[in-house]
Amino acid sequence: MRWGVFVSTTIIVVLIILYEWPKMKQNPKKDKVAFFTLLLIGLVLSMFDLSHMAGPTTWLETLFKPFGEFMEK
Amino acid sequence: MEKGKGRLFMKNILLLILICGVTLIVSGCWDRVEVNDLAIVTAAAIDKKDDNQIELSLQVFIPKALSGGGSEGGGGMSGGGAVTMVASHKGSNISDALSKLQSEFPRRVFWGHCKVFIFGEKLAKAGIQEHLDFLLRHPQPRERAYVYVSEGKAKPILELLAPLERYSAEGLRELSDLHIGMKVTLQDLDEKLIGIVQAAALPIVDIHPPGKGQEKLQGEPYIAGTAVFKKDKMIGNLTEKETRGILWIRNEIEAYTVTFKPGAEKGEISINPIKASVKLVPEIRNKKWIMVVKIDTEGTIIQNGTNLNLSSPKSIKVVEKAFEKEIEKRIELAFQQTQQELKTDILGFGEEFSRKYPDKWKKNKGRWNEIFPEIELETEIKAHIRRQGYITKPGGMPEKEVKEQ
Amino acid sequence: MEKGKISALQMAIMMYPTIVATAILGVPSITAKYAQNDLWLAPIFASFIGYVTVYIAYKLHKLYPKQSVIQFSEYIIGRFLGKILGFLYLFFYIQVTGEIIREYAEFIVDSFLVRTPISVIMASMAFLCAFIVYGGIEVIARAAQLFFPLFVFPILILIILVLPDFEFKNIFPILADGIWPPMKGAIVPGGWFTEFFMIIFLLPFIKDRKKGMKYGMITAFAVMMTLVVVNLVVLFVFGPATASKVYPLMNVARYISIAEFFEHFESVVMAIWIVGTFIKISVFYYVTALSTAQWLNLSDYRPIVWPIGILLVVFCFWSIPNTLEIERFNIGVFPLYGFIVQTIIPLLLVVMAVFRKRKSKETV
Repeated sequence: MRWGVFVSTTIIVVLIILYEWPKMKQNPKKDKVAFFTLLLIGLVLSMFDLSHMAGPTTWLETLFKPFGEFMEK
Repeated sequence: MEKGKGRLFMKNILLLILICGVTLIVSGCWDRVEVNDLAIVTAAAIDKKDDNQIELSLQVFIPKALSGGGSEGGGGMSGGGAVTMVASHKGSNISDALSKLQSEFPRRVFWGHCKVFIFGEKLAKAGIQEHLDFLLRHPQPRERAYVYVSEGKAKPILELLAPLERYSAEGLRELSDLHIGMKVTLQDLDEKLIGIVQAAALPIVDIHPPGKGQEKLQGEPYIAGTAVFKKDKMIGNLTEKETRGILWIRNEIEAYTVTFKPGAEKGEISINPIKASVKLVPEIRNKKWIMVVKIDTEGTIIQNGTNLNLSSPKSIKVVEKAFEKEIEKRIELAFQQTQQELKTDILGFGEEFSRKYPDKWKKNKGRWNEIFPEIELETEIKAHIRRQGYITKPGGMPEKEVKEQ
Repeated sequence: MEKGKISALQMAIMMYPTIVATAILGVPSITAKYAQNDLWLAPIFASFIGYVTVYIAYKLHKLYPKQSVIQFSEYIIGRFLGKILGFLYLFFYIQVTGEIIREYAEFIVDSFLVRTPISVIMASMAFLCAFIVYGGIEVIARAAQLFFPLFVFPILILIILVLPDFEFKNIFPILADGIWPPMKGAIVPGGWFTEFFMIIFLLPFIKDRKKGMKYGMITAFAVMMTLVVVNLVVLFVFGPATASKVYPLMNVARYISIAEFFEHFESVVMAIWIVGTFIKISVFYYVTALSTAQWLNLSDYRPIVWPIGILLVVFCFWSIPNTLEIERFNIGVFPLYGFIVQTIIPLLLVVMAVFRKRKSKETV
């Protein structure tokens, strides 16, 4: 876990909530839930050492391996 | 009401924080470098040392010398002493030497204005590929910088105090721009070495010894022929005369004079070729690989040492014929040298063949080194003399000695 | 959800930089790797994917004029499968947008702001784009309109300035190794052309709907022409060395030297690149935010613009340790991935939709 990244992401997340929350008071509950869920996903992901972790790009590369090998040549 | 006010306050605070944050990012201060923190490199020389190391020498601009000399005006600049200094350091490769050099330097080395790279002869013979990699990979050095090989060590060239120019590298660059010898940029070199024939030619720089009474460092660098590279290693060189032939074939001829004897006449005529169009037409006839060099050139007479009256069409014909012969001779001399002695295709004939005969080229690609020495050269040269200068008959010659043809 | 309206021309002006911005910088050298001196033919082959994609997108749009692919796929293949497909699109656009931001930032760090932390460059771009996406489609369209000349004219000027360095014979021999190398070279730019599918998200907001198809095709053609010209320029200047450059157009700009006075033009390329990618990222960002909102059936996409911004920056880093990874993705994954998601699946959707409509007519 890298604290610097996590802390700065948290600050940004807090700023976003402070900025956006007053505007979406009238929005339906669903919007609010989506808003917080997405923020939470971002925050959780920021805790990991992302660039050296398996992720979408590596998954896709495994998935498209034959094509990748075809293009290698 | 109270609540609304609070929200407005909150919003303003947020905006303030935002703006402060944005100024930090947007101004791009992270990579800000002031000009007076830079050591501007004007030329670099790379020499090989005995212990498998190289020596990197940088010619660095001294801004103080320039501004001080400039304000005095007139001859202040060259009289005030050198505007550049040379710093050098050993290392296992360029970047290693550079980092060691940097640690002794109060300013950050900046390559962006470096327009001259000189490889020492020894280094050129050992191979330049790994050094080329640095120059092409690093974002600062320009692809348009000129590349040279020095006769002997490269460092002394940087140390010269060229009397005419502000610094010696500037002089070298001007020479190249005049097309005195080959003009090869970093990009050209890369292209040639990557390309299919993998051979390149670079101009050789030598130092013109200082005249009597001048200080030792007052010499001028000049271009003294061509270094021939097979792959990334220098394998030989061409003399100045042979270089001219090469320049004809490569259509880089610009500022020089052809002096020759017209036919059976006594004396010599000098012609300044003004325009030349050169076409290389590769042909394969009966399994023989032939390169036809078609040259169409125009020139002006600048000196007439014979007794021919050049205003008569007949004598012009004679001169044109002789001019054609002369060009042919030069081209053949140069070609002979590259083909028979050096066996290296620096003229890019391989590329021409591959463009016209892609199929045959593909079959014979591996054998190019065997084919190249067998290639026959044919020349079709058309020379025209367009102008004769301010006088018609030979200057300072009595009427009756002039030969009317 | 989105009340803005744009014209078909505005859509074209948005789409052009969206495809071209990244394609002119890195793709010529990738193409050159496969096609050598026939690289200029590759965009011509690749553009067929573009035309087909535009056609498919327009067909789908005509069948469901008010909806985007996220919404109507539920009608075509059922609610459950439709949701899965919608998630696929969502994931695709989030991930690709992250990739684009990373690519942009890597270029800036690589050539200009060497010591600036890359996250700062990414975050500032995401920040800027978030604002414009928040403004809605009209704002993006206006911005694109405003920046379009700034994007196109520098390219033209660049080409004119580099003319003296052209070595026209680099183009020969044409098709020395047959048609196959440029075909293979067309695969990677083909991936870029599949991005034309994004017009499906823009078409519902177009005022003059009948022109949608026409302008889509015109844009695809303009993109093709631009790529052909850029590839030719690079080839004429660098010849066999093209494939070894990472950003050939950048090197071309650096090579310009007119009278030893007009030099060092790389900042122009940087300006083109930033303006172009700004529009590109905005359009992708907008599509991502919109499709997320549609997928979740939200009342508005605006509340989730900022959270998605964070996700995008997260995706910039996720499993991309270095620039090589981006290149591997661009070559070995994206062409096929993009083709499947943005051309093949829509094609299947069209077939099914037509089949369904006919069937429902028959029963009535």
